[in-house]
Amino acid sequence: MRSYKMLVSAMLAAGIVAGIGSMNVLADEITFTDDAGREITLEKPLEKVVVFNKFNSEIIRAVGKVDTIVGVDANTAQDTEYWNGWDDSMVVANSQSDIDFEKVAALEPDAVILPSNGDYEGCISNLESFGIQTIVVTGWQNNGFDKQIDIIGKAFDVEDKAKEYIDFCQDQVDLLAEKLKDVEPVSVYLENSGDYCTCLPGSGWNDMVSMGGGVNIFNDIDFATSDQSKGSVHSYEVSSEEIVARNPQAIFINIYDSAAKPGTSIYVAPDPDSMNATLQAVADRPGWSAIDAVKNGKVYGISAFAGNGCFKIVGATYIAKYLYPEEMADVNPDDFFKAWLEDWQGVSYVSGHAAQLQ
Amino acid sequence: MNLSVENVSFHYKTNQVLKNVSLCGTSGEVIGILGPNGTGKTTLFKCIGRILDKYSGEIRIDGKSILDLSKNELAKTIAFVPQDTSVSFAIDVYHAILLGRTPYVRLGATERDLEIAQQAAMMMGLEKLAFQNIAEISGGERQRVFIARAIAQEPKIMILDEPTSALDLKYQISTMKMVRKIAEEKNILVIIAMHDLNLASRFTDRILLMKNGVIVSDGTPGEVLNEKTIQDVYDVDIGVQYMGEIPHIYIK
Amino acid sequence: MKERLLAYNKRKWQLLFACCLLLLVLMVVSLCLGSSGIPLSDTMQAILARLLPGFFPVVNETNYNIVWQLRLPRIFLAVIAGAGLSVSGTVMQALTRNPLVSPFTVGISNAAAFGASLAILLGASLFGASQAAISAGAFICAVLCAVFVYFISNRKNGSTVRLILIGTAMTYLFSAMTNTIQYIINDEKLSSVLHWTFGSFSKATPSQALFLFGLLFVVMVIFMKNSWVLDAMSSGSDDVVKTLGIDVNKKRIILGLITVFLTACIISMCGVIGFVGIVGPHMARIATGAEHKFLIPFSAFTGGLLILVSDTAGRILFSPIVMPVGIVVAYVGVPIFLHLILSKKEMYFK
Repeated sequence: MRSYKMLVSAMLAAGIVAGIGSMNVLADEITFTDDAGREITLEKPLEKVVVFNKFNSEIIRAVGKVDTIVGVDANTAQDTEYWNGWDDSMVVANSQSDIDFEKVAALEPDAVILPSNGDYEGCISNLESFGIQTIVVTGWQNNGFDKQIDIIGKAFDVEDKAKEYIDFCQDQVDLLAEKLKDVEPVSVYLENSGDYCTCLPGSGWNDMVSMGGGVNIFNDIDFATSDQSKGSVHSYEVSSEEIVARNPQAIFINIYDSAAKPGTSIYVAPDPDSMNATLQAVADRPGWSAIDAVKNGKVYGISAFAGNGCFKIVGATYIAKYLYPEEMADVNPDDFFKAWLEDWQGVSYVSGHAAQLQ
Repeated sequence: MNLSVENVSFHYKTNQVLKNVSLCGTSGEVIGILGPNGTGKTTLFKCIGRILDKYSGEIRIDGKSILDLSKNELAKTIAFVPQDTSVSFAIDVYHAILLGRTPYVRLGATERDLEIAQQAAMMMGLEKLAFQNIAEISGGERQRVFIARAIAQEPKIMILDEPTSALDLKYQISTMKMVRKIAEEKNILVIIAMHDLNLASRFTDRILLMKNGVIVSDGTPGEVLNEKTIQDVYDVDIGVQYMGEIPHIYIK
Repeated sequence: MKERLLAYNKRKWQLLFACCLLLLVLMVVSLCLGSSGIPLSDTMQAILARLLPGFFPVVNETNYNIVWQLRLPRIFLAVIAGAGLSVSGTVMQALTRNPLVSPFTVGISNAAAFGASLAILLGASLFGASQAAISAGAFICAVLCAVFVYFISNRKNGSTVRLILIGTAMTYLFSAMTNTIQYIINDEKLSSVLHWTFGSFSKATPSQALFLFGLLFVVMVIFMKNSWVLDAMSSGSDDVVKTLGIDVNKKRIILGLITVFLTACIISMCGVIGFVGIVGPHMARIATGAEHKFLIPFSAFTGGLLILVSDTAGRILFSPIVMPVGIVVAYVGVPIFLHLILSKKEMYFK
């Protein structure tokens, strides 16, 4: 009898030890699904990463892990001031689809983080043998930003901070929805990346307009069934007559600083005089004096940097403020922009990223 | 060796180029084919060499139709020296002569092939030019190279298409002398298309005179080259003088 | 006389051997060059660790992998692609008796570019599994174009001039068709199309390199066996060559199709790389003459060398931008080509 009890106790003890032991193993490992639907398993939180696409870097910085970044793409590194000193020495890829795998491998990072439209397949096949994990995070995807932040939170083991960031963003989204819920939507023409080029449904710019309470006058164009040679959903060429005919109540021009690489935007605010000159040139376009927005001086410029800020919530806030001054009387977009820059990105607030035509 | 062309006719689409052409030749003979331009000389050669095979009639070598020979066997039997000796890619003279061994070559030239080509080169007096670029020698010298190549082919029949038309007098004569020498030493039937009646008269054993795809006259130079025949075929006013048995044509 | 020929031949074999060694050395040099700045000693260590594993341990695993996983497949593929294109050019020039002909004269390169553009238009992306669809599209169109050109130009026992003219017409046709696609396609896909068209080895995988190596080996054996035939076919007009006992049309079709197949495979894997198909043979011809026994292996060498140098330059000179080899090869090759033409006597005339 006594030996039987001893046997059972021993087995129980062994079972408990094994259980604790395995739980220890499980506790150390991190598993999650990345934005490409891939199951990722990490032995420990990421300590050294290469990141492509600046919006991914922004998320990582927001959760306090910017020091883990050892390599970026050229479009990110150009904004030296914004990234507190990152320059060409940090560059290991021309863009997220043009990656120098040798340079990445030489840095010996734990992982490469890049968006779903980047060459992640190339990363997997080239870097697997180096033990470098490829994780797909699509930071520029404004819809479902919580999912992207969540992946970062898990991968770096800072889920609490990630949750805080999600809440910060979501609160502002909810605030805008609340303030704008009863407004009469104002029709908006948004111009992006080229004269007479606008955004269409499917583009984050279009969503930004909607989030700001506006209605894109070209939201009836379905890119998939239209003449695709006219560009993309983000920048689609339309005719001047059509814009005049649709008579927007407000016009927003995305301002791209000439100092930045084409199609990208930087932290440094555009020069106010040249920004105003740009807006004036738009208002002076032949035939545009007939447009309500021009008649009423509702021509606004927002730098693409600010527009893109915090999943375009910054841009949406500015749009809401410009379109509905009464409903937004107690909301100052500069405050939100400042909070995002200073509290979450660790850089000083700069003014001048948004202005109305003088 | 006996070549027999029997009632060969050939037409390009609607154009009847050869009409019932017949001729015979044996080893060691030098036969000249004469006639105005466009009279079918080249077409006849192409039929004999089986470059064209849609002819009616028979062409036999030693009784066997050439259509029954494989391409390779035919190449070992008949060698062709073209009129146009220009080349696209320049090679050595020796190498050009070596190409005559093509029908005999499996993978590459053997010692024996090199030897035969060398002898052919020497026979045509080409030793000094052996490693010259074929593009850089004179027309007459190039002609000799192609003849040497034909010799290297070790054929039973050698056909030359107007070999002397573009040459100066010295080369015309030396070429014809060499051709005779080849026919005798190698016991080859040589058939030459030419324009110069006097050259043909002096150097050939037999002449076939053609007009409009038909053989007008077939025989020794003395038999074929008389005033009436020449005037009919060429529509010119000439006279014939005899140096011994050899007729000599002069312009009136 | 024949002793002299044999002596010349022996010299040519020696030259060829020396050049192959040179190529190997350059491949090793190229293996040492890369954008990640691995010191030479480390690279040598990595090379030796692979070749003589018993004697040299792997010191730095990352560097080892960079050298063998990232750099080597690329270099290997570059040399093979260059060799293949150059050899194809040589054979095509012999078959058409025209020194200005390249595999692309038949219209293959533009047909391949069209096939790839079409695949991209229909949804294949430059990354991932559908990459194979792009290669397949390129390959199919290249072969179809070549077959068409051959079929049309051979209908009446056509001369080679006709073949070249029809090929040129096809080049323009497919170019127009590709441009049409580029015009109607959206921006995102357009960059994919252009990216593919310029030719690059950045997507080199070991399996691709091995496949092409095997193919090239088989093809070169076939060409070498036919080197005498090629000599004969390039020596004179079709009629004369027939009298040497060669079935000119049959040989032209078979050897031509093999050339097309090889070229189409290379283009479909590496994009459009022009110029080496003309320059490679020319450079080789100046060194060894027009005898195909030497010309074929030598043009493989010149082609491989040209592409290797171009690819390495494209990798290093503009880091981190990797300049596509299709662009660099023109910059590298044209000065060499001009220098050769102007300074040496021509090895051929027309």
